[in-house]
Amino acid sequence: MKKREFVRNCVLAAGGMSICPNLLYGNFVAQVNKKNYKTALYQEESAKGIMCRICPNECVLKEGELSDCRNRIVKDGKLYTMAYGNPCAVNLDPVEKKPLYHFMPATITFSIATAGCNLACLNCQNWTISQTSPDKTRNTDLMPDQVLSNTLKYNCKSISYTYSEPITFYEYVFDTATLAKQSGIRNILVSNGYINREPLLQLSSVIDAANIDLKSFNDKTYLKLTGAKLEPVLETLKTMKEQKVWLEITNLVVTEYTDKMDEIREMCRWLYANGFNNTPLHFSRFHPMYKLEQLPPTSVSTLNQAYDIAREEGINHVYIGNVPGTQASDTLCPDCGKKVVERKGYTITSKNIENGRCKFCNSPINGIWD
Amino acid sequence: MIAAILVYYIIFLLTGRFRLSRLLVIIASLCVVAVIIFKPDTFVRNILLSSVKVINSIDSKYGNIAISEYKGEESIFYNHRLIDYEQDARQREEDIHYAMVQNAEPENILIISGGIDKHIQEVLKYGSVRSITYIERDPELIACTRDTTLEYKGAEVLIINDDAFNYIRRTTSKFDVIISLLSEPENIVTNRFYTQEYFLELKEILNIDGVFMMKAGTSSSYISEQESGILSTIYNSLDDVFSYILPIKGESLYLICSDEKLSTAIPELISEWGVENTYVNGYYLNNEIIRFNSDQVLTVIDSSLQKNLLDKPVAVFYNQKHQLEKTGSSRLIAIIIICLLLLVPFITGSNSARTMYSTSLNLAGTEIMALILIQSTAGNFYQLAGLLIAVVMGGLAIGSSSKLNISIRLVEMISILLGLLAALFALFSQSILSIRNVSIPVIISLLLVLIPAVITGYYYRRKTENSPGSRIISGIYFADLCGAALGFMVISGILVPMYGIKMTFYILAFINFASYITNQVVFGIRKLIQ
Repeated sequence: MKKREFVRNCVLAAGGMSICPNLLYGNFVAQVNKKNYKTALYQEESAKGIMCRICPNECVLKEGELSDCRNRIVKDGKLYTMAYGNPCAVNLDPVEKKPLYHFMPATITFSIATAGCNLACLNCQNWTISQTSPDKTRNTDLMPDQVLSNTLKYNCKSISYTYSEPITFYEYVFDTATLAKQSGIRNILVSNGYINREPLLQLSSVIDAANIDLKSFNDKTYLKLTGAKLEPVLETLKTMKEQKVWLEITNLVVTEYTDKMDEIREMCRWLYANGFNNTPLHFSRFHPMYKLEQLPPTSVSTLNQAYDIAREEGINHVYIGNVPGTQASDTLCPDCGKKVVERKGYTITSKNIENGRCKFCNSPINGIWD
Repeated sequence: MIAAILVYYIIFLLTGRFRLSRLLVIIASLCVVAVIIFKPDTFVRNILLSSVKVINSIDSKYGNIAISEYKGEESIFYNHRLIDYEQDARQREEDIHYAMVQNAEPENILIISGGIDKHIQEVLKYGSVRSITYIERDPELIACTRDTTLEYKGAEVLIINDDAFNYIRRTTSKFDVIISLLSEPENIVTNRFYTQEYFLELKEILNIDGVFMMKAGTSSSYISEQESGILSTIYNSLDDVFSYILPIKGESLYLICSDEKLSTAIPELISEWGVENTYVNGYYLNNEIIRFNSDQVLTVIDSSLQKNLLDKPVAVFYNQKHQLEKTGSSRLIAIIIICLLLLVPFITGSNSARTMYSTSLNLAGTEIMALILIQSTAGNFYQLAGLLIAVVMGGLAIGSSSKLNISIRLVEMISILLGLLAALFALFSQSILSIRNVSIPVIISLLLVLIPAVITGYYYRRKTENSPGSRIISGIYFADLCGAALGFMVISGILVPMYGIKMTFYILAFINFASYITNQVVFGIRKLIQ
């Protein structure tokens, strides 16, 4: 075969094949409407492009580039969020599932999430939305006022910004939370806490409660498991406490990664030393997920050990999550040690708290109980 | 390896010639002793399952069972997939009770796979239960998971080692509740239990007010496009069979089916039964949330999506896409490889290479579809898959060593013959799948690959026997391999899942006819030019 023939044949065949991708795979991608674009807050021009200042990743983006969290884009020299009014997950959850045990217990919360996350956790249970962008998910049209009307319709007492990472749909969270606050609906942030101080301060003004994932107390493990650093998360905890946002902390004990007792002890010591001794700490059981499907679930004995260590180190409210039937779900009075809240599942079976105080010894029990 | 060492050892003993062999024999002997004493399988499994300590590894006819331990808790991996672990109250209860409470008086229960003791114990919580039939194909798995000291009290328990599809086709028993706890439709073997044919057979052994429950993937806050594809194709297959289908989001996504109305009031029903549960009860579950989530699931079902059938395993296609998404793999690479392989007949230019290419594509495609036919009817047998490959290789060997001398004009018409064969198989593919005697489809499948293998081998010999140089031989061999590669990739990954076995056979027939016609046209043009 001559060179010319070869080239001609290749061109002909390639032309024919160019229609193949569409034949083989249909177009499943959802489109993001213009109305879901909103000018992003905390953007800054730099020599290399537009910098997003929301989280410590501080992505510097050129025209048309997507942020690491996959829902911010630069168009016409400006940074836009593509995650505004288009949640892909809308659910009703017991507030205990967040988990929040000291915040409006036994109520139902209206939960929303858009696609996107600024971390890349190997064990993410919501990876189908966290590791993608809003133009690739099936979304619901739900502008802030509609979120509020749905919250009221389903008789929910709060709105939870959850599942993926609410920090990445910051503008949507902020506007919805502002509107909800005006109507007496509480706002809950379930987050990895990977946010810069300035945006966090603004957000704290409208957020009533937060559950922050403290994924590990080892910088190397943090990086390996999530792709992020530990320090900014610790700063978030301090800032939220300072801003008087009701705070609970979750530590997912991941088999082989974060189930080392010396690290758990170190974490508890840090929490105690920084005034988090009355902040509820949830040790959650890991289930094989996403890229860690080959690992077994956390052994219950490991969780019990973690519980004991936290109590030894002076943390007053320690709970074990994702283990149905566990005894470590009751709230004990830090002073008299009696059970002030007894729980079975997500239900409170007895409550001995009155005006935020233990009925037995009158000591304050931290939390927002009504 | 052991066999090779032994053969070498025997050769040495018989001939005693090689000096180097003495050293090798000593090493070989040591290896054999080490293999016998140290059980390398457990050692290898410990490397593969590095996060746990594998305490025992068992190879059954159907796969590997690894019993492992981590921080004092035991877990069992089946073909490296976690199937059993301690303190799994939520999963164990959800697997049973969502279905059981839907029937007014469940007496006869059928459980397909799952953990033997833990699931039977949950069923026995219902006083009305008289008999439990438990099916698990792999007897080794039962031996590993069953506590022999445990007595099942209150009902007759029948344990059957059989393929569930075969059992359902054969049995004359009727059941009030059937619970299928098989793994998701990740391949042709498991896909069988998510097809409309299976659901229809299953309905035959269900009492009029009977309830069937199955898992249809994982349950998360969001159902992705691929997960929705899996769910929709299964749902659409069930929709023609049952009057009511209720999705329930738990740790897995459950589909409960019946011809009687179904209820989302699980906590109330559990309470009415007086069943004591750790998780499936009113303390954890809330009616309003169950109903809301159930309605949410129904909104993502695409009723226009194809049904999942034995000869059209659409669910496998979506499942594989879902798994690929996890690793972030791009389809682009696959598309580029396919495009390059498709370019081959245009690049090679020779008629012989083009025919060889389409012939090999036909053989590879037929091999894949024969494998699917075997797995769809007889289930997963390593031995049968091996036998099928052996038949292909044997057929190629027979064809290439044949002394038969057919005129070259007839040889050139090989594409037509293969095309006709493919069209013939297309006509009968669905009838083959519906044959109840398992051995018949197996024999047909073996014959299915033998004929094109012999033809391919024969064509290769005829086209290369008098070749003057290695360039022509290598060109034909190149086309042979490329055609086979394309056949394996496109037929298993795209054509069968998207269009089904029947249509794929027709496509193969078309490719072979097209190859012949192209050659004739090229030949004609060349003649005109000359």
